[in-house]
Amino acid sequence: MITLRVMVVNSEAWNLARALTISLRYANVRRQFSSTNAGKEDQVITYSSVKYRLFPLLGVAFAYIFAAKGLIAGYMEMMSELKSQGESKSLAEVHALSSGLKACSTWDCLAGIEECRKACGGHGFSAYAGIGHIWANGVASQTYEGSPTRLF
Amino acid sequence: MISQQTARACLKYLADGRNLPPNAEYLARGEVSNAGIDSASDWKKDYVQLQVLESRARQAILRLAKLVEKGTPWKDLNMDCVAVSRAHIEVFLLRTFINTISIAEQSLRPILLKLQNLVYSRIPRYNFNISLPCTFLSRRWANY
Repeated sequence: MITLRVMVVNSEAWNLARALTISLRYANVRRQFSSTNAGKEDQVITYSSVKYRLFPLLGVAFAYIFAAKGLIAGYMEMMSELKSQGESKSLAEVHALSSGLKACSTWDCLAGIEECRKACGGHGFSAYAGIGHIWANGVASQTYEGSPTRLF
Repeated sequence: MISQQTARACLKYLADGRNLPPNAEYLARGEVSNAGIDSASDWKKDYVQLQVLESRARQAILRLAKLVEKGTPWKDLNMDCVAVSRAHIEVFLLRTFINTISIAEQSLRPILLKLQNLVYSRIPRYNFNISLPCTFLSRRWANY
């Protein structure tokens, strides 16, 4: 189960990154309303509420991507010790970290993906947007391999 | 059934005190009366962010340990375990972020630092009342 939890942390971090890529590009292109009543409408990404909702999520995605890399490195080291020595001093730590990270990453990243969908307005519901697909495939990860309130 | 794995590990680290893994070494450090916060810009400093999150994790683990010592049934401590686990994991997240920036290409460091601060210089917005089950939901995007 440790192996799968390590993989889940990595996959959900990258799923959040994908959803963010979609929503940030959309916010950059989409224009709605104008603050000057002249010329083009304003890009949605210039609104402070959009920046407030999406930009910190970019930091969260990077945080979980980096954490996943660290967790994978720790896991590989643990496996190497198990193979060479038959035991590993870091097994307990990797187990504790993978449990907590799996719970945190699935909870935070899926909430973030949902936020990305909402930030796209009505277009976020479209199958062409792709975010609904990312969310639907990822949401089950909050339950399998240990539900958050149990894992925490 | 998986139950409160990370919180139990933290309690074991606290009980052991000596052979702490690298990610739990903060438990051996004492509290600082002033984390070096004199102005708003101090919240963008690595060591300030880390000290605050480590302090939060230490306090959460100590609180849980006291509840266990008092004889509180384990099943009544589910949400306290959630708070402990999240606090411990967020120390790991920040530490890994800082370490990754330190080995990143020079050209990438400024933007990675901005991303780090987007998340962690907003710590004052955190609800540090760890007994609330919705602590982690009350920050970031849920607060607007």
